[in-house]
Amino acid sequence: MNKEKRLANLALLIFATLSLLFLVLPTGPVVGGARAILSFATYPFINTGENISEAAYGIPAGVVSLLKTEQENRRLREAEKEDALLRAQLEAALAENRRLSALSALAPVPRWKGIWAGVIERDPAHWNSSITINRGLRDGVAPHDPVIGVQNGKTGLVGKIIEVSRETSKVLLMTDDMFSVTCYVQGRGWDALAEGQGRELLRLNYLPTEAQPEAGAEVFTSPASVVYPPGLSIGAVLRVHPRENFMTFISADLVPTIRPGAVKEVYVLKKAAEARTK
Amino acid sequence: MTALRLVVFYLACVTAHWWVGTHLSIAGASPSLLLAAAVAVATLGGPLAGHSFAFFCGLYLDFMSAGLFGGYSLAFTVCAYIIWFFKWRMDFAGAAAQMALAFALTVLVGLEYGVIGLVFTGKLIWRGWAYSILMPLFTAIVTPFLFIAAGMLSLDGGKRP
Repeated sequence: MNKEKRLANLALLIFATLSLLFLVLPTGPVVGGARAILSFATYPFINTGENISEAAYGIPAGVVSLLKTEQENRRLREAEKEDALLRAQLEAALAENRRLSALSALAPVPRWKGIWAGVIERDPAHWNSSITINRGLRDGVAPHDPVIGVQNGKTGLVGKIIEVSRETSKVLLMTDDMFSVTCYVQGRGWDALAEGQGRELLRLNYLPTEAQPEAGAEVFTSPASVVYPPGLSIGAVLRVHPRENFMTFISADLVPTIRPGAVKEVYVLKKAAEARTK
Repeated sequence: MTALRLVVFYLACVTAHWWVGTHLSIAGASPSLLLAAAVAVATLGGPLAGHSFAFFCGLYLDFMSAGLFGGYSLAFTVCAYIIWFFKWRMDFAGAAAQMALAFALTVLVGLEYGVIGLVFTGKLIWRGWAYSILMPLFTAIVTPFLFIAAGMLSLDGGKRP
């Protein structure tokens, strides 16, 4: 028997005996030690393999996400270009407005500055009268500050601040019968007074007798108002009341642009505070 | 130097075996890369390299299984001895011969493990027909590649007894 054969037999004897020992011996220090050594030797490779595998599996999802991000990025870049164009147009209109205001000796239209506020209280007993918002003195809110809102993509007047505490304020809604604001009808320039009636519709009073506003004509706050910024939408004409013989003006019903009963968030303009500081 | 190369090859095979078993099983069966590697090393290497490599490959399978500890290492060691015995009498240079050898030995390991289970636990360990047919088939398919990989280790094949 040559050396190779002896070696093969010896290897078989040693490894077979070891295997049998592992099989025969109870799970004690010998088997436990062998398991520990194998664990120590192989787990790092398995862990690394798992990590690489996870990373590899994540690649398709990552690529899809990257492609989507790229598409979104392109779309946003296009939208940004449009926005830049609009902004430039707006700046130009504002500059033109300032120039014309200076030429006609009118006060320039200040930019709106303010703060968003949430409606925290609305009592059914005065549904069309007032609401309470979660901004107060701490946030710079002051009495007579105009309150506007956004509804269905349109911005319009909501009311004005009448009471301010440290953290909350009370807003008098334009539908309250104590509320009034000077206004003009779009296109024709007739000045009038919009007044609350304690219900959903507003009343447009003091329209000149020759004025015959069409239904749907929009009404805006007048530049003559000392409290409200000019050009804020108030509502649209619903119907014009027939002129009585004894009256020197005509009146109409207005549907508010912002329905105060549905408003959840408002924007308090700090125009009043700015005027005071000036 | 050969021992170091074998250790590196062993760790690579262990990792690949784990990955294939975890991620690429078909009908509950996957190729036994460790058995294919043990067959390749036992065929191309000397008796000591072949037996020790086969033993440690089996030991890893024992470590991963919750059953008999030592069953696979014994079955793999016996396989290495069978290969050493036949490698001077048969030609395993071709891929077909390597595949046939791997197929036969995978079936043999399954039978050995079953008998070992019968001896040490009193019941025959049987994994079902699908596993018992598919696994030798898959192992046979990958074996030529393991032969190529093991051939790069420049193992000393030993001398004819």
